[in-house]
Amino acid sequence: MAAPESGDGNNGAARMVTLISSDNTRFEVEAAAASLSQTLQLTILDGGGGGGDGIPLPNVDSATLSKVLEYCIKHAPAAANGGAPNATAVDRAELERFDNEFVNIDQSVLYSLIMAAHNLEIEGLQSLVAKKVADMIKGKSPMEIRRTLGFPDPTPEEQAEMNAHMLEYGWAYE
Amino acid sequence: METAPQWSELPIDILGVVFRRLLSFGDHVRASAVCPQWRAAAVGNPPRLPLLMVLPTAAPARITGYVSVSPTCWMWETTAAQLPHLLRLTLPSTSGPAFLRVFGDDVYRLPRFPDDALRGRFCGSFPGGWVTLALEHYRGHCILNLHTGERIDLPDLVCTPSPPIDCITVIKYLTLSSSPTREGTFIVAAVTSGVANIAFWEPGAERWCPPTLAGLTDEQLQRWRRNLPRDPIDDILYFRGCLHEGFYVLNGDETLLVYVPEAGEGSNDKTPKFRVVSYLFQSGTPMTDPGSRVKGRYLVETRGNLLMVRHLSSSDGSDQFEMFVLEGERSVTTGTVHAVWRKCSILTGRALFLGHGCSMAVETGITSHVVMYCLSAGEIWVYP
Repeated sequence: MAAPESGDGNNGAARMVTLISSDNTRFEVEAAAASLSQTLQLTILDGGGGGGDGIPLPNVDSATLSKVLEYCIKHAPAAANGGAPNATAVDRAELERFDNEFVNIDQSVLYSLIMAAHNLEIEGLQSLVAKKVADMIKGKSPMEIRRTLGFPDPTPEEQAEMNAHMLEYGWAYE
Repeated sequence: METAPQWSELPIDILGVVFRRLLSFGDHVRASAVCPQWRAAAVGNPPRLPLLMVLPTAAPARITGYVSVSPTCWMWETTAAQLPHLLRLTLPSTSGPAFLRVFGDDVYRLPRFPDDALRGRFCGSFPGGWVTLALEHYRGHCILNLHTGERIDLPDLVCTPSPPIDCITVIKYLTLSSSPTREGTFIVAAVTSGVANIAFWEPGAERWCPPTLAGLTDEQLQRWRRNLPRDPIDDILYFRGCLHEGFYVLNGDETLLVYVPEAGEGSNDKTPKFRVVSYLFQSGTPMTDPGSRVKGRYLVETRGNLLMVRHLSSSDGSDQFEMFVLEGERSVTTGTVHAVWRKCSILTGRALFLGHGCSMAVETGITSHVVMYCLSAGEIWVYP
């Protein structure tokens, strides 16, 4: 899938790298986008990921990786501007709109995303998903939080612990 | 087949990022009950609570107990403050339903609190661990960071408006436009007792200056100086309002004077320039209990609104609070705005920490409403 000898893009073409998900799907992306990941950035700086080699990511499945890359591609231009001090309000509003839409997804996908963002060290993505999770938790009781995030039903011990907690911190449950 | 996500086994450092996003401590406590792993993350990432800092010189007999929030974060109860149930807040421990709670009658010192500041007089505080104080009674003003130990010296001399004479006046309290930075893009406002009741400083200036107004003729300036408010100022707060961003000064008659910083053009003198706007309130805001006496007024920002809080001593001697939201701002002429103080009954989900130059509303995530205040010069709220 990856073009051999693509190397360091003469002719001004952007350098591409290949990422391989845990289920062996290959993704070809611009190095600039993949470099939003601190982990990948080191490999790419060392010249990895080009040509036919590809960088294997055994912890990230293809569904999650494509979602992660969607984020990286969208955010790469702003990141390249060093946090985009000269970005227009329109650009920032567009990114914000994208971010809000991006995390409007099922909790199981959020879970895969925050794990992947953590493993790949993509700070912006981790922070974005964490904010979404925090928003989902706000104002909810422990049981409601568990239901929202698809926890299994609590064991009797867990239930007893939650009740004790509630007795101790009754004020937080008003 | 895809396995179900294991939110209960999410690594603690990821959970920490989530917990640091929970700004209200009600949410914090509820989320910590979800499972042991979440509880561990909650302990490691306590909510940012204000501290009431009490100097040893400030009548320690009044201190009745303290609460450990984290190893470096303590809250004190004093006999003067209304003791809300929130002061019982401690964080859950990792080992199930045993809870870390420490009570005693000792006075703990914050880390990094320099010895020479212990006899000082507090003038205000700012989020990020900043406090402003006078090291000696009326001298040695500085801004101090309790986390880093960084200290920014402030001048003691205040230049009087007219005639311009340098003199030492009592600085009652100080407030900042934003967190101090090395680049020095912040302004400090001082409420003074003297001919003028307000003075400003920005990094590089040698003295405090009365407000220098931009774009006025000499004659207008003279007139302005004659009209400079000399009543005691009740409180001051830097606020981003819907019409103006600047220092909002609350006068004794409950009107506002807003000092809007103007960029100085080409001038090298380090004197902050301002445009001043007067906020007038057509209908008065009567007190519910006519027999009560106003002990103090405070300005505090909450959820983007500006709040005026009246601290009342009611006819039966008890402490009461009345709260008003700034609303309906309407520019009528240049420099004059008409607005309304709308009385609001209860601020659900928030705790108000009141003190001149150091007031703040903190999200609690619970429906009850809490007001805490400090009165003595040896007490101050510190925001981590």
